[in-house]
Amino acid sequence: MPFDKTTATLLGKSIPQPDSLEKAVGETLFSDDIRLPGMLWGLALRSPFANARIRRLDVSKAKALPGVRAVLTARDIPGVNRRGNMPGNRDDQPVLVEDRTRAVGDPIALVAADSSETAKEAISAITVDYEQLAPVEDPLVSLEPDAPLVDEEGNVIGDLGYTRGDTEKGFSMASAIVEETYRTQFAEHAYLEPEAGVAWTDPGDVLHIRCGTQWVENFRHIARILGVSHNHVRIESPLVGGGFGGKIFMTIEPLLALLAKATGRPVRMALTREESILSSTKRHPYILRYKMGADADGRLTALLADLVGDVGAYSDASPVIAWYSIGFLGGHYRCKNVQVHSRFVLTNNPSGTAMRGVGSAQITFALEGTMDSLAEKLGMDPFEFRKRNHLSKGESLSTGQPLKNAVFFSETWEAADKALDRALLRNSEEIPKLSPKVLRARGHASNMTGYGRRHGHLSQAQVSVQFDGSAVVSVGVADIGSGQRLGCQQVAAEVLGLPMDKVTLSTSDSQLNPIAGMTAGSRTFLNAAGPVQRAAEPIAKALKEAAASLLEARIDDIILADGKAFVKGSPSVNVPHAQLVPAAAAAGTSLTQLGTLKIEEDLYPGEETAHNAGWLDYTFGGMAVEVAVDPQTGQVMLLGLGISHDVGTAVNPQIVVGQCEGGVVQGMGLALTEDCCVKRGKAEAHDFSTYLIPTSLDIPSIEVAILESGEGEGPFGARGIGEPPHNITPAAIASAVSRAIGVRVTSLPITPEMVLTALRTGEWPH
Amino acid sequence: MKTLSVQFKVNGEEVQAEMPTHITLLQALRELGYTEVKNGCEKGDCGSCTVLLDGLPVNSCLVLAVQATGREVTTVRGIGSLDNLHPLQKNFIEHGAIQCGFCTPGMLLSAKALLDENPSPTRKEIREQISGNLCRCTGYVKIVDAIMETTSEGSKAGKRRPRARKC
Ligand code: FES
Ligand code: FES
Repeated sequence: MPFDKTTATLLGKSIPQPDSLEKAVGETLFSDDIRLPGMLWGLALRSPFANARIRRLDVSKAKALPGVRAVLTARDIPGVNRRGNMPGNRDDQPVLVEDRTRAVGDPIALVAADSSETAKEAISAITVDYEQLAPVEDPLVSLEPDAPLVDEEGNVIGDLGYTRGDTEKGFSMASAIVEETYRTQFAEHAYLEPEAGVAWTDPGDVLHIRCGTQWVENFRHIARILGVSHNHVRIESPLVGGGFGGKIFMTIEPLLALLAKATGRPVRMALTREESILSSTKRHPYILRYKMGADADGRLTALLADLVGDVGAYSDASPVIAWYSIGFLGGHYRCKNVQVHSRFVLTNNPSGTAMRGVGSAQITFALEGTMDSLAEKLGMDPFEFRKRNHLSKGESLSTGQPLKNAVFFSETWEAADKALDRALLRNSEEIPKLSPKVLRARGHASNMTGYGRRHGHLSQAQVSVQFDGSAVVSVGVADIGSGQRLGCQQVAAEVLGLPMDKVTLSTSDSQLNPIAGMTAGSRTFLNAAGPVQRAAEPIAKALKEAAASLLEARIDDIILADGKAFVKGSPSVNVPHAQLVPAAAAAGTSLTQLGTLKIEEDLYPGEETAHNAGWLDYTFGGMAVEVAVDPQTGQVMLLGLGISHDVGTAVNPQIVVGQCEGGVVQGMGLALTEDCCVKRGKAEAHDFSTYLIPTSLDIPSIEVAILESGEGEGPFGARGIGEPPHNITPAAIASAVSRAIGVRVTSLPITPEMVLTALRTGEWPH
Repeated sequence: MKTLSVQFKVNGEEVQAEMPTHITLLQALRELGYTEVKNGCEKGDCGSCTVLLDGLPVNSCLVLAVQATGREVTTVRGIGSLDNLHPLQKNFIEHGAIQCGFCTPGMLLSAKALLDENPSPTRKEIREQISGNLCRCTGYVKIVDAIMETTSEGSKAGKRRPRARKC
């Protein structure tokens, strides 16, 4: 029975998150908020060097200190000394360094002690004799044939690409050609909650790890490291204090696991902010060369994209992210002659990983910049130029993948532009105060973001109804604050016709909950709430059957809402769920159902090369922003920003708007201030006074315009919205700044120094 | 390790403990079980650890525990509870100003300090007040909305019912 939107009671309602009440009063126990009896303190000794051989490692003094319960090195790892992280990578990252460090922050030894002071003392008592080697800092150097090997298997971990048509011919037909190289920076996820957690072993010899993560399925990697079977490791993620991609793959979990196993006692670890930034993964810097040509009518004739991604020291998630990027490099524009090439290269820099807008934020910035330049060269309005080239529903991406659902290109562009007008109006008090010397301009961008990787395994969820009509949802997905649990709850309540408070949640426990994959890639509403919907539907059907017989009506006329069943149009004659559930049980219906979602491989014929690059569906959007650039200081001020995305169906508008606002502000950081400043493999920006994320004083007036085509693959036709608002922002801001200063911005972040140099020289500095 | 006896009030309750002299108020509070005070950086950059000290907001990571001797500390639990929410807490929830919630305790206390001082601040003043409280999730918009909402409502509510708790 397809879901009837017209009788929905919770769909489209801005219901607050179920956990916000506890969060508001300080009751939520985050990763570092529990203490267990006999708990030890864990600490890691980390490499200060990006590339060094360890000649000698002596832990004897540390071991001899009173109060020290364990000192572990690579030799003490009972299983396999590899983090694993992402299936399909090189499996090149040790948990503890064996004889060579490849990155600053690589853990070399672990200590568990009675107190944090003793643990610190033990760490300082460890002596390491390093032979420092020159780090490979530049991916372009790393690509050279005689470059020192970062990894024995070679420095290039992904060399992918595809060709459609004939780009040479395409360029020969062009009346305007633009070729530009764009660069982006190492960016830090900067979740407010640093990595922390506790691990302990229960009497059944199951190791528990309570540590905020975006992926409870990491228990498999832990089991391999410990040399135990999968059922002996259980990951329970508390509510996570922010993730943004940085907590998908294991952070401190393997360290906690080793220490808890070795000591037989509960162990707690909590990273300082500095250790967090020093040791955590980052957004990959990209070097992107785009060459695009168009004919005199403004139709694209050729597109050439060449990407070099800085993987950092370990392959981690890079092989997959390389594929994501391949999917976006060809853009969302119509072009017959396309050549796309991408190489992901190891260096001794911090490891790159997923970060909000994975593999697409950097590309959107470069692609949209090149589109703007080409429009300018053609003397065309950027919107008009894009309109001629933007793909529509039913057409195919250059990878060959058909776009099955709505493509709201003009709609989102125009809505964003109007939203910007409203934003400026709201800011109308501030604008007249600007000096007449400032350079003001409006910029735009359009974007496409994938959601629902097609190669995910099964995602499952369980829904049970109780005799009193209430329900429990169980799903192994982590909540990182953007409404993952709420989405599952709201969908279950809608389908079962229950008020929100009659649906409770059990989530993010790798042994108790059916597994639903990682909280990442704008996938969770589709991949977690989707299975919840599938689990709830047969129960709803059984309840309707019970109601139909009690009310002597046709099942199709039965409505479930607010904990009652009634015949459409006459809600006063009703039967409560408390009566329906026992009746359904008596009729032999299982009150517990498992819902399964599998995204089919769905190969598009003849396009195997690019096949891995595709997502189930895409979210399209537009952004408009107005900036004021101070020509004296180079400072960029955002006067207003309008954003619009087609979210398919806005199941919870407040969540959608929250994702837009939060994503925009993060994107602003990426555009203007955030840079890890990696030198000799080390993030020089090591805290929040050097790594600058936006504060409340930096934000512009933001207006969000939600569009709903109704065509999405998530429950009730929703599309993913976690990442799209973020990855379009740097592109739109760069577009506005480029216009204001008359120089194309080709690198991030757009610092005042860069702006001043560009104003002085007429070129964007690299 | 040198220790000192520290004594202060947290949310109206007397607290006394023997603590190392160098321990910060943040560390002390967390060790005493007030884990609602969050640690995001331990150096005054993020505001997650904000508490009210005699009604004024401080980064508790920058205050030594001994400096709080004889004073009143208010954490987020001191301004409201599950069944008796402070209007700011209620508005944060209703406006969707809480995503991951890690910044929330500190943010609420900074906001409360502002409203105690100035019951009808402008959006600009609100943004200035919370500029030391970083939030990575919300983009601040809904936080400012929620505080703004409390300004008009707060004065009305203040007349209607006595303050829930002295803090
Ligand atoms: S923890 Fe005190 S300001 Fe960050
Ligand atoms: S809600 Fe996550 S940091 Fe503010």
